Formats: sequence, C-alpha cells, structure tokens
Amino acid sequence: MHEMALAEELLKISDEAAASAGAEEVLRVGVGVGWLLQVERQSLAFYLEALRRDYPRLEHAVFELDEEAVRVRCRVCGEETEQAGWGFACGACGDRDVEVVAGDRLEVRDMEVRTDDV
Amino acid sequence: MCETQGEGHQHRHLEVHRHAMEANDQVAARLRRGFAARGILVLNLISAPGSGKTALLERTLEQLRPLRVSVLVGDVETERDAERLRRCGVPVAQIVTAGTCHLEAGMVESHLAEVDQRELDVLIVENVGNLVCPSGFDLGEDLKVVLVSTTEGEDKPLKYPAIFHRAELALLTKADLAPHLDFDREELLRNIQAVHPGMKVLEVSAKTGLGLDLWLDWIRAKVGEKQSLHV
Repeated sequence: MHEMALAEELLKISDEAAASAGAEEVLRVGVGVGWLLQVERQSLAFYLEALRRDYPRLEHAVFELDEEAVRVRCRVCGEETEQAGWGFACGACGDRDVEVVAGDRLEVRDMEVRTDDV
Repeated sequence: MCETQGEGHQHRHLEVHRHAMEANDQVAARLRRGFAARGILVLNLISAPGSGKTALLERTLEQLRPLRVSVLVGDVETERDAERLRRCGVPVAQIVTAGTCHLEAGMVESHLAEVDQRELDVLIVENVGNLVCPSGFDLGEDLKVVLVSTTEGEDKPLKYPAIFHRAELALLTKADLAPHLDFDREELLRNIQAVHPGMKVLEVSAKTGLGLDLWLDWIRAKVGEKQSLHV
C-alpha cells in the first residue's frame, strides 16, 4: 500500500526535473527500485499509471522499473559485495559488520524528455 | 546532458538521481535535530495489527515514571488507542491517517505541538499496525522497535524481513500465551537471527508483567545514552 505514496513522489520528482529542464513531454523515466525497500513493482506501476493524470507532461512516459540489488561494504576488510538474501554478511571475508551502500533507495535515475525548438 | 535533433523538437537525456523518500527524509532530519537539541529519546514502534502494542504501552507508561513520556499514536481511523493511553496520565496525540497505511515524518511534525517537548524524556511513536509500509519511512526516531506476538507464527521475520532488518530490538509479546499454543520459540528466534544477526530480543507479557523489567531497563538505558550526548 505504501506504493501509492512512493508513486506520488516519483511523479512529483519526474515532473519537477522535466519542468526545470524546460521539457514539454517526458518519454521515458528510469527508476531504480532497491531490493531492500520491498516495493511491489506491479503495484508501483499501477499507481504510477493511476496518478499520472495529474501530470500532463508525464501522460505518455514509459516508466522503466529496474530492480537494484543490495550491496554492502565490509567495515572489517573494506570489500563491497552484492547480497543474495537477508542476514547481510561480507561476501569476501564473511564478517557481519557491514553497511548497506546500494539497494536501499527508490530513485528517479534518468529521463528522456522532449523539448520544443524555440 | 546529450541532445539529439528531431523535427521541430529535441530529445534530451537528463540525469536525475533523486530519491522518492527525499521529502520525507528532509522532514525527518529536521525532527531529529529538534529531538537531539532537547535530549528526547524517540522510539518508533512497529508491528502487525493486534500484536499488543497498545496493551504493552499501557503497562510501560504506568511503570516508566518518573521519566516523562508522551505518545503519538497512529491509526487509520478512530481515537480509541489515544483514549486508552490517556488514562495512563501521559500526554497522547492521535494521528488519524484516514487510509494511509503508515506514518510519515510530516504527520509527526504536524502533531508535535500537541505534546509539550520542553517537559519530555521519551517520545514513543506507535505506528499504524502494519509490518511492511512503515518500515521505510524515517520519522526522526532514534530507534525502531518491532513487536511480534506468540500468536502470529514463527515465520513472520522471514515474511517481513525489512522491518526486522531495520529495527534495533524485537519484542516477543503475549509471551504468557506460549504454553497454550503450538508456538516454536526456538524457530522464531532462529528466523529473527537469520534476517538480523545479533538482534536483541526481549520476551514480554503485558498481561502478567513477564519480562517488563527488561524492556523498561532497556528504555531507561537508551534515555541515559541520549541525555549524556545532550549534556
């Protein structure tokens, strides 16, 4: 259910970025969906579709939802490794003293927009 | 930003890299600075509906004196929980989310005026009953506490891992019921450790008082840590 709130934020950010670039229309929005957030992509896509009528620039935009794996940096050996499941541990030395460096964000990464010639 | 020429218009590529939680996180950071300036410990309590958050808080509020505690309680509808907690004689503000399945930092900020922060050691936020949605919304708290009751099944941590990963402490509630249930305590503890190695777990019963001392001591210790930073 929090997908609705998240979809609203993604639309707001996309629209703001398009407006500040002087874009008339957004063609594509690349979204990174961090695995750690437990966002249901189908539900997110549904809300993006349902809520975008409030954002004329985004009417025909294609939202590409790309899942981003969790990566952790080990505080002991310094290695960065990808994680396959919960109970994070360093993939190199096995220590559990790790910090998450990727996969914990839902972000608008990039966009393709159309600007009219002046 | 590359640009390609079209007929009468241009296509442009924009690098954006903005986080969907950024608006919430800004408010949460502002709240956290305010709480730090006053030395207030803030706990965000998260669980499924019916795990016993309000019952546990009733006992907790009675016994935490002389610490000065307030509660912000989130529910989708009604003021019932706030009315229960006010009987414990502490300031309580109800946040009715009217459909929203989690609390956001802005909701906390807009209800803070209802509790007097000048007279406060601990602020407890009782989130909307839900194990998924609240876990990603920072409310400016120091620590998240997740509650799971003996009646909910041993696989809760595996089904809802994000909150068990993020919370500092797990409270196993309704511990008094365990002998009457097909409840496998060891398996629940194993599942918690699989998601969050080293996670602290306390077993409590609001009904019998079992384990409440350990929970109250944990809060008092965290208050001490927070206030020592403040001075």
